[in-house]
Parts: sequence; structure tokens; C-alpha cells
Amino acid sequence: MSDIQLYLFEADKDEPEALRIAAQTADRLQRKELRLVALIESIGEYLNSDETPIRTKSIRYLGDVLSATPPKVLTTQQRGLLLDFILSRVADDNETIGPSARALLALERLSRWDKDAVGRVMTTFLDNTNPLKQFKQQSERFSILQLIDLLLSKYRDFIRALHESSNDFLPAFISYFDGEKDPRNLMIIFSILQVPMIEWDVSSNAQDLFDAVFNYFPITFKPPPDDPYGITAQQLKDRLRECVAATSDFAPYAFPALLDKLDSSSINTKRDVLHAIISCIEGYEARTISMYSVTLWDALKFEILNLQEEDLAEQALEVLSAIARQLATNTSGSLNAYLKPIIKESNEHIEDAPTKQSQAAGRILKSISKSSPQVCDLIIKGILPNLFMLFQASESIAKRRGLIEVLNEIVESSIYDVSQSRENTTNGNHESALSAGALRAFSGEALDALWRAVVNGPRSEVSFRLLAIKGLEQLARVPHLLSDQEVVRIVDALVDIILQEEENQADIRVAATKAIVDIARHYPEIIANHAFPSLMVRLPDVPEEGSTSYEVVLEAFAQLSAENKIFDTVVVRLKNKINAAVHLEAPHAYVLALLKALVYAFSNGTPSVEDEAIRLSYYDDLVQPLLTRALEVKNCALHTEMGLDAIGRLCNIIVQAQGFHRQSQIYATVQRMMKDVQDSLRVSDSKTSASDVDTSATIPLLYFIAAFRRELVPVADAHNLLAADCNGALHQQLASAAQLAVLRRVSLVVNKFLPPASLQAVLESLEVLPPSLLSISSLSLSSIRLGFALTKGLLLRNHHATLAQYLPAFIQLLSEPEHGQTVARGFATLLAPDDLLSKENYCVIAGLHKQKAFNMVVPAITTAVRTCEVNVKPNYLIALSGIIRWLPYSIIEPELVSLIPLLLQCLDLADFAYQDIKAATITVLTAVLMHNPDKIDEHASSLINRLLNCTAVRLNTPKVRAAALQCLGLIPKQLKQETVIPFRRQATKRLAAALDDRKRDVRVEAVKCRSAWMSLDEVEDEDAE
Amino acid sequence: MDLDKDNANPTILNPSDLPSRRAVNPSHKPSSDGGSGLFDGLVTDFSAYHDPFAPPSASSDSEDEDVEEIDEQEVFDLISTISDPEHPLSLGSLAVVSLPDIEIVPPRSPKSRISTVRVLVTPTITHCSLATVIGLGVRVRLEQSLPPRFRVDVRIKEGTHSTGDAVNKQLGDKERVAAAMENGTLVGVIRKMLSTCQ
Repeated sequence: MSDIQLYLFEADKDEPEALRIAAQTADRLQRKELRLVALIESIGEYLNSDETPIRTKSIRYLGDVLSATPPKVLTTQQRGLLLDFILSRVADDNETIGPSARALLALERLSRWDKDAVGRVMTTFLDNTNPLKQFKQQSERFSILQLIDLLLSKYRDFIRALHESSNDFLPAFISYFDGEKDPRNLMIIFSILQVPMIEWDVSSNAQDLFDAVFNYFPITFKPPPDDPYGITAQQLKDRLRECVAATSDFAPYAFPALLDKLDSSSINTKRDVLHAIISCIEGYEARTISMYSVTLWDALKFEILNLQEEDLAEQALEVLSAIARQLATNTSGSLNAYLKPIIKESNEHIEDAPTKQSQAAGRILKSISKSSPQVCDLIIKGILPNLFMLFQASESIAKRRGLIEVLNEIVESSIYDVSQSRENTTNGNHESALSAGALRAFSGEALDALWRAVVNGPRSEVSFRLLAIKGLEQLARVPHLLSDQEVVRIVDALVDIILQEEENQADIRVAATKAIVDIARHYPEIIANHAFPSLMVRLPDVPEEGSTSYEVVLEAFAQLSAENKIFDTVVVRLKNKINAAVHLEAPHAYVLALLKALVYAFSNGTPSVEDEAIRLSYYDDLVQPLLTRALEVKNCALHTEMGLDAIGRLCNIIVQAQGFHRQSQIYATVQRMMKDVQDSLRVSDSKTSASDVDTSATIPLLYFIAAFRRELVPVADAHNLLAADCNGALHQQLASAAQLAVLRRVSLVVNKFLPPASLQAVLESLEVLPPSLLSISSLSLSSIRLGFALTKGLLLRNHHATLAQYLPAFIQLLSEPEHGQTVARGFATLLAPDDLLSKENYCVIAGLHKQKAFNMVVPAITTAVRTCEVNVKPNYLIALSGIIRWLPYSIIEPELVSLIPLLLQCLDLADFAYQDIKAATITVLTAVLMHNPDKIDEHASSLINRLLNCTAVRLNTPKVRAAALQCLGLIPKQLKQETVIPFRRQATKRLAAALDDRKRDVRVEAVKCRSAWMSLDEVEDEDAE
Repeated sequence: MDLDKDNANPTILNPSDLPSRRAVNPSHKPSSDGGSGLFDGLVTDFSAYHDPFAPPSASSDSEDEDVEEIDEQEVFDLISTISDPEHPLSLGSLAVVSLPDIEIVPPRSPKSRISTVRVLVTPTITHCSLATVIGLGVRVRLEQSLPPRFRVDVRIKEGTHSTGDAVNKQLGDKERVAAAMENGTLVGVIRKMLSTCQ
């Protein structure tokens, strides 16, 4: 049999085989065993067959052979013959059009076509296969479209020449694609049509061309679930939008058509329309846009003034601003023509302030002003005279508030555009001067109006004064606008508010403070020279007995540390104040408040930096003297636990950031303190009570140890310190603050300073490993605490060898009646976050330590709880809850099946002492409901009942009740309807009692929860309808 | 576009001017001495330190003893976040409901537990056709959210609506309210109004 016969035989049954046969033919052609003429002749008889499938397949054969033929096998002449041959098929036989197009594609791949060939291919198709939609098969059309797409991407000039040589070409070309519905083909058509749109002169056919694409607007296509081509509606929308925005010639058709569709009742259509308009404005020429700018304004303003959907309004604002931006590049006449009706209408709305539309007018003006400094100037000139006139003419606070609202929007946009223009032009003096220029004419008036509103406004008019404060702040932020005297006036007014505002106007004071902090960024000197003295006057050396009015001043003062240029002044003044207060024996609370302000400044402010670390002189000049004084002078406020804690934190913040070299200098200076602390902790005579041993330095020492780098402290030093701390923790009656410091230091030392290899030996030599530490005979609260502190440090670094001794020992102890519960509660400390055990403090934090804790503890507990005695069962549940409350959800997730029954049992812990366990458990269950509701489905009944029980007053704390209600409120949304509906009646009934809870916060949750359950019913009704 | 609204351009109150519990009762905050709590948590407060190894102290449940009664502000908070059927704005910011127009009438006799909540609704304009719907929405919200010992009485404020009496009659008639809630469209509107409630 000949190749063609074999091919025809295999074509439908075995495609790879058919392709192989075609490749074989190609091979024979290449080796000259077969002549082209012979090949064509062999096909010839089938091409004239009456049966379409045979004709189709034989052309397909030719195409497959050509695809398999390497370039240069066929001569120019042969290729020309083939082209003629295939084109004659195209002209004569519409039923084999798909394979013919593919054969042409294959032929083109062999060699580039010349102008004549391209012209013939294009016209043959246009003349004989127009319109494309006559071909029913999507794949046939797809092949033709691929061919045309190829012509337009590789032979663009030739096709363009076709267009330029004949007026009939383009209409035929456009109508050719009419009526295509397949998304994959449409994607190609849109991209084909974009070529004439962008590159050709299409003015005479603009409407047809526009209609050809706009007929598809809006795209409502939804891809079928198993779409093989993966084309999304968004891709179609994007490409269609590019077409619509392709040329200014479309404007006369595009804008009316789009605005017409804007009246659609479908929100999605409106979204697409607005999106398309934005693209058009960015794509069309400014000259064209100016012809439609007012029409667009008239249509779009409704979306903003009669706001229905927030995102539509935002898009409409974006359009208005884009128009202004485009027109600003055109003649000033067109910009003025656009802005004039906007300014006129805005002025009308402003007259009614405060209304929905005056607010909207403010938004419009703001987004338009933002588009360019020039626009901003015009808006300012157009709006502000009227605005101030209305302001002066009205006595109504509400009206004035509405006007200030609009003023703020406009001023804000001029701050924005100045910073923009600065970025654009490095020597932007001219532009920024220009922008402030228009506002400058009104700055005096604006300042007066706002200042009076702030200072003289009635105290009860909160929003009025808040807006005025914001306005003053913004005025001060417009560069080159206000003189220094004017800024001083603002600052004085704001400081007065901070100092004098009555208590119940906390909002206003917060706003004033924020404004001052903001102004400090631009005018640090004015703040230092004018705000500081006024504030300092209000900070006495010794406050009156019982007075706490200094707190407000301190808060404002501390926040000013956010500005680096005045940071040093803030902290030095605070330090001086502390010294004076301590010297004059001011109340401890006052000194402590000053210390807190200092801690705030260092942790939230912007201290100076030197060699990439916070400047060391803060430590030398400021913190160290405080520390020395705190340790030396007993009975002073600095010497209290909280005072030492505050100073410790200051040391930590500064020392932590220093490099190795500077840290080692500091380490040398604290040697003495370390030795003292260790000596005091080594005293193990149980007769000495807490008061006899001075442990005050132990708190600051903790913060130093936390701050030091890992490689700084020699192992021997660390060993000694750990020995002393363990001794102190086990054998001394320490006050709780000192005890906490010692235990946290234990965690730090085992985590940071001991190498992994020596940990086992060190702990053994100190006799703090199980069983010596945790034997039942010598078990005490102290030994349990120490055990958990050690384990915490080890767990963070994932030290398996020692953890494998501690954790099983603790789990064992849970069954112990006397200490079991204490041990159980200890589990919650293991993973509890501790701000000192952090990466910043150079701790070793293994990535998988939480996973490890889970693996070593949870399975052991879930097994043990099944066989344990009833009286110790709560211990296991407490321990379990203590671990999992700190775990990320992903760790718990795989074990939910075994965990959920235990979690539900936790909710049964009735004793009031277990409230915290319940609260933590409800949090975990809430997370399960959010992520894996299917896992809870089978437990729905027990979960709902238990949660309802948790809402009972007296048996549960308000916190538990609120959490239970929150969790319960998720159930109707998260679980399957058929699971939940049977509980609806019972739940809503019992929740009615929660509506009458004695705590307001609980009632708020009850209302939300109950309405979630009530809406369940409505859904059910809907189904029934 | 819905252009045939009864009132397309209503006056709007600023959120910070709406009555809230914080402004009414500053001593509610933990620090009543003027500070805003900026420095809280900066330093370990050893006086409030709780030993994790001990069960939570019993003192925390004593706070449960102070009963916080349901008051007018709470009722206001319940209904002020309802959306207006015409505008995406809350009834509070449109001043349709306001704190002074809410009254809680305590039980008439010591034996009775039944209190009454009386809410007066002020339509944004006197011929507002949606006044009944708004009244109904307020009523439904309160019936869902207040404990059963409260009777709910919602009326149009006197002199603020052209057909106030007729509307009041409708709102006060249990049968008619129940009948209205059988109407699918109306239920849909009300559900939409209540969907913004917090």
C-alpha cells in the first residue's frame, strides 16, 4: 500500500501511527526517493472523492508531511507550486478548510513568504471563506485564525499594504470575524483586530471596527468546569478593554456606548464599564478626551454623589482624576472647560453641608486635585473663596464642620502633590512654590478659621474640633506654606488642648498629640522651643499627693521621641526629671511613670544610631548612672522591683544592639554585679529569709544576660551562673519578682551559653536532671518550677537528649495526686511566649520546636488519659490544653480526630479553677471550626450542648461566656445545614437567656450569636419556597 | 440607578458625634487618671503578676458581681448600625434613631419583671415612604436582641412624618407585624438592613 493509503487507514484510529507514516513520507522526500509530483499525484485521486472525510484526511496528510519535512528540502519553485495547489483547494473546497489552513501554516514554516504570497493567502481566505462563522467546527475556525494571526504578526507591513491599496479590504477583514462565540478564538480575534486599531489609519471604518469588538461587551463568560483551554473571563475582559482603548478614533462610539451600559442594573457590568473608561482615558489622546470630558463628568458624578457601591464610587473617582491628569498635559483651555462644571456643582453641594453630597463633593475635589499641581491650583481658586464665604456667613457648627471636611480634603491633596513633584524634579522649587502659591492666598484665612474652631469651638462638638485639628496639622505639613510664627500658633493651641482638655474628651487629646508628633517631623525646632517648655512646666519635680494629672503630659512627651531630631532632648529632660524626683523623694508611682516614659521612648522612638547600632552613649550617660543609683540607694523608687525592671529593659534595648567588641566592654563592667548576685543566691541556709539576702541586682542582671551575644559569655561563667541560679531557685524563699528573674535567667543560660555537647554533663553535675530533680520523694513547687524553666530553654533549642528525660518525667507526674495539678499547669509555661527568649536576644530558636513539643507530649497524654484514674484526669486535660493553646493550627490539624474528644472533655471541667483551661479550649475549637468544620460535624451535638453550658452565668467567667458565644455563633455558618438545623430551636431558646447576661460584653456576643442561629431559619424557609 | 429615592441627599452625622459608651463614661477605662494606657505593658507589673503554676485566683470572678444593666446606650448601639434601606448609611449617622429618643421604662410593679423599651424613629423627611420598613427593622432587631423580659415599642416621633399615626398603628399591631414578616420581599429588605449590624 502507498503511504497515503496507510495514512487514510490509520488517521482516525491511531493518530501517532498516522503521524509516523507522514514523517516517513517526508523522510523519503528528503532522501529524494519520492518526488513531490508523485506525492501530489498519489493524493490527487482522494482529493476528488465525494466523501468529505476522505478529502479532509488527504489534505491533513499533506499538511502532516509538510510539518515533518525539514526546510530546504523543497525548492522555491516547489513551494510556490504547493502554495498554488493548497490555495486552489481553499478556493474550491470549503469543507476541507481546516486542514488546508494547517497545511499553509506548515508550508510557511519551511520558508518565509514574499509579499505576493502573503497577499494571495489573505485575499483567498477573505474572498472564499467570508464570513468565518459559516464553519461550524470551532477547531476549523481556530486553524484559520492561527494562520491570520501569523500573517499579522510576521507580515504586518504586507497586510497593511493590502489595506492601503484598497478601500474594500478593511470592511471585508472586519466582517470576516463576525459572530464568533468561542472564547479561545475570540482571544485571537481580539488580538488580530488590535493591529489595525493601533497601527492603521482606520478613520473611515472606525465604527465597524469598534462594533466588531464592543458587541462582546460586557463579557459574561464563565469557563466550564473542565475547560481544556483554561481561558478566563478576566483574560477576555482585559483583551477586549485593550481593543476599546486602542485608538482615539473610537471615542465617538466608545464613550456613548459605555455610558449607556453604565445604566445597567448589574454591578459587575458597571464595574467593567468604569474599568474600560479608565483604559480609554489612558489610551486616547488628550485632545479627544477633552471633547468628552464634561459628558463623562455628568454621567459619572452620580456614582459618587448617590453612592450605592463603594468600589464603583472609587473607580468613578479614578476616572475623573485620570481625565484631569490627561487634560493637564493638553491646553489649559480644555482643563478649564472640564473643571468649570465640576467646581460649579461642588460649590452648590458645599452650600448644603453637611450632607451626603457635600461629603461626596469633597471626595471628588480631593481625587481630582491629586492629579496634578496645576489642577490643584485651579480647584483651590475655584472652591476656597466660596467655602470661606459660607464659613463666615454661617453660625451653625454642623455646617462649619461640613465645610472644614471639604477644606481638609483639598488641603490634603496639595500635601500629596507637593511630595510627588519633589520626587519628579530634583530642583522642584518652582513647582512646589506654585502649589503652595495658590493655597498661600488662603492660608491665613484657613489658619484663622481652623484655629478658632479648635480653640473656641464648643467642647461638646467633638467631630468639629477633631476635623479642625486635622486641618491644622495638614496646613503645617504643606511645605513652604506657613511661616514659623504661624506654626508656633498651631503648636501652642495643640499643646493647650493636651494640657487642658477635660477627661472625657480623650479623642481630642489623642488627635492633638498625634498632630504635634506629626508637626515635629517637619518643624522639630519649633516643637523643642515651644512645646517642650509648656509641657515641662506641667511635669513637677514632686506631684501633689494623689495627683496623676502628669500622665497625660508624659504620654504626649514620650510620643515626641518618634522624631529623631528631638529624641535626645526628650530623654535628657526625662532623666533630669527622674533625678530630681528621686532626690526629692517623690511618690514611687511618679518616678515609675517617668521611667516608663523613658522605656517608651527607647522602644518606640527614634534614638540616634552610630555604627549601625543605637548610640552607646545613651547607656554610658543615661542608663548606667540610673542603674548605679538604683542599686546603691535603697528605699528609693528606683530600687523597687518595677523600677529595676524598667531600668533593666533600658539596658537590654541598648546593649542588645551593640557589636561584640562593645558588648565585651560592658560585660567586663557587670562582672561585679554578676558576682554579687551569685554570692547571694548561693546562700542555702533555709533559715535566712528573703529579706536578709539582697537580690535586687538579680532583675537588671537578667536583662543583661538576655542582651549578650551567645559567644560572649564563657562556658565556665555560664556554668557558675546556672549553678547559683539553680541553687537559689531550689533552696531560697525568693520574692516572686526575684524568683521569676532567676527562672527566666535559667532558661536563657541553658538556651544560649552552654554548648549542646556539654548540656547533659552540666545539668547532671548540678543534679537538676530527672530523676534527681523530679523524684516524688523530694518533689516541691520549687523543683517543679526549676524543671520547667530548664525545659523551656532546652525546648526552644530542640535539645533532644535532655528533653527526652524531662518531658516523660513530667507526664509521669501528672498521675501524682499531690503535685499533679501543679505540674499540669506548668505545661502551659513551656511554649508561652517570653519577650526575652527571642532571636533579637540571640536565643537559639529551632524552627521545629513547637512540632517537637507536640510530638513528645500530646500522643503520650492522649494515651495516658484513657487509662488514668478519674481523680487525676483533669491534670492530663490541663497539661494538654497548656501545650496546644500555643501551637499553630497546622500542627494540631493532623491529630484532630484524637484531640477533639479530649477538647470536648476539657469543657466539662466544672470547677471554677479551670476557667482558663475552658477559655483556651474554646479558642482551639473555634480554630477547628474555622479550618476543618468537617472534623467537628459528628461531634455537633456534644459541642453545641457544652458550649451552651459554658454560657451560664456564675458557673463561668465573663471571658469564657463571651468566647463560648463567639464559637457557638460560628456553628451555623461553618457546619452543614442538615447537622445544625435540628439544634436551632434549643439553641435560640437557651441563647435568649444569654441576652440577659449581667455583662455587657457578653450580651454583645450573645446578640451576634443568636442572630446567626436565627438567620439559619430564614435560609431554611428560602429553600422551602 | 435608583434616582427615585424619597430623599437623595440626607444630612449625615459624623461617627465621632454619635453617642458612644466611651464618651459617656470615661471612668469605664482601666486608667481613669487621664492617661490613655500608652505605657501599659511596658514594664512587668509585679503587683498584678499571676503565678502560672497556681490556678487562677478567685478574685477574677468577683468582677462578675457588678451587674451591668441594659441601658439606653446599649439599645442605641443595637439599632444605630442598622442600614437605611435607601442609602448605604447607618440609621445612627442619619439621625433616624438617637439616644434621647430611646427610653427604658422599668417594671410597673415590683412583682413584674417586664420592662418596656420605647424607641422613637425620626424619618429623614416627613413623607418618607419607607418609615414603616425602618420601624419594622428596628422592631425586629430589638426583638431578636433583647431578652424576653423587654417589651418593644417602636413609634414614629411625633410631628416628623405626614402619616405618622397610620404608621404607628401598623407598627403597634402585633398581627400586622407578624403578617408583614410573612412577606418574602419585605423580609429580604429587612434582612439586608440588619446585615450591617454589629
